[in-house]
Amino acid sequence: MKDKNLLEKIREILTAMSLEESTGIRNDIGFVVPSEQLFEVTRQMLQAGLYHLSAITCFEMEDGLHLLYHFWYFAGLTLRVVLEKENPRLQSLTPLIPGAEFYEREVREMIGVEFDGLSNSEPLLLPENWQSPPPLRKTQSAQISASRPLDGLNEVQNG
Amino acid sequence: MAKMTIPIGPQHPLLKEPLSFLIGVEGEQVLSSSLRLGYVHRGIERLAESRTYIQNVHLFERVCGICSHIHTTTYCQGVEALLGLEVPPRGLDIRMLLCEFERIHSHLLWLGVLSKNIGLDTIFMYAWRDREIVLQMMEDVSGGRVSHAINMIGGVRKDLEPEHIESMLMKLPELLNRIRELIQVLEHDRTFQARTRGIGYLSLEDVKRFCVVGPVARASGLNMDIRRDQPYARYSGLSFDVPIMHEGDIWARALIRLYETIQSINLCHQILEKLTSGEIASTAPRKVPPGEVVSRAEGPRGEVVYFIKSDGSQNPFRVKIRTPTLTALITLPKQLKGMQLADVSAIIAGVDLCIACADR
Repeated sequence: MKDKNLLEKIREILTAMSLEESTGIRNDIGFVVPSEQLFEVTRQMLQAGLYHLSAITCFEMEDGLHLLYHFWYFAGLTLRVVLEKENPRLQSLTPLIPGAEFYEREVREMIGVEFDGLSNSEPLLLPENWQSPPPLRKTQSAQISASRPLDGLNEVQNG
Repeated sequence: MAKMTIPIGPQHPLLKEPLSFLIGVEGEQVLSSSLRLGYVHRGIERLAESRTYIQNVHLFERVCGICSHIHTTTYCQGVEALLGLEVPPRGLDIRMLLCEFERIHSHLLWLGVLSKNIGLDTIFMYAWRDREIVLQMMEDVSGGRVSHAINMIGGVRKDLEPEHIESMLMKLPELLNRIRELIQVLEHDRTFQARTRGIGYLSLEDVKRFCVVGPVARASGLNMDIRRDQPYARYSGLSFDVPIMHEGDIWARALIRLYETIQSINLCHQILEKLTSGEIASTAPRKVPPGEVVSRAEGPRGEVVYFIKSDGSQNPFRVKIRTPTLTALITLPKQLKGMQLADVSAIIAGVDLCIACADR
């Protein structure tokens, strides 16, 4: 049954953890979470009853890599984590939410974020012999996509 | 007994689209399984960044070959939210009508695929025969049977003709009768039950842990439907039930989908009867103001999520698509474990996989 106050409760929990509420995403509740606190924040939200993680979006900005964790309970709630561009690492949420596995594996392949504790780090979408930088990184892969879009597959092309 | 690993896919008669399973068996029993995607990965998210918002409508129509309309609907309503653009009610009505037609078409297509996979060719033929009715209606509305290209930012591009409305109102009761017959068969046919009851079981707890959505989740008792829980378009003005079952097996998934089809037919009636008059689209500017939005909609397979980030230019800075199939795929190793090898075909078909969707 719908608990009308759940998102309000979660907002109180997150504010009590002195997290900054940001209104970056239209119609969603949003919080900026330091990367080392993400696991604990998620654990507390799960405990309160927010279990549905819809997706993880990642994109590269000038100040670093932005990871958005889109949760849902009759409305959206998004946690934003900003990571360094060099060697981005983050604790995996899969011990808490097994459904996060594919989302994390995709972010790992496409943007290059390493997740500590991710049980399966086999490639999910890219070929096994992909050698170029992660394809959704703007700064590193811009040249590849402009000149030779299949550069990452040179082993296959060379037989 | 000796342990073996059996590869299923990427090319396999069981699969309609390429996907690779490695199934570890001992005798006939499945011990473990792993899967690999990416064989139809088209880089759509990256491609979207180099195209304008308008060109992207065309691109996202091609994320999926079955639920093409729900993808453009979710995308367009996200962009409209960023623009602060009001879509005329008639435009939203036509969008919803297509969404419901698409749900009927997708569920009947799925029933055919499941029946074919478990050797019940008669149900396959009946389901696909009846699907033809809805395909015809979709062609009347949009001009296309599967790819409709009817959505645009700000509304839809084609209005309903009075004679089409009349013919749809005549065909819908016929479709309803056919679906009722199919439900009778599925509820009582012993062969169908023998192949689907207790197979591919997922508990409510599993469904929540794996963040599963759509009919698969509802067949395990999760009461979630974005149309009702976070209404978009004009769903808040329509009345419908969200069928829930608790068995959590393929049988429940089959029935849930047919019950949903009945609700969709009912919704189509309501939409056509309450159809508002007036404009079908408003004019959208080419540039979208900076901002981020998460857009959700209920596709035939469940919650579709689009994240759109605009930097103020004509092209989106980032579009992230989360399709419902991805949430069902992750449960397959759990569903397959301990099952008989002969049930693998039913389990794989049972979650309604759309690999092109999952790969993007």
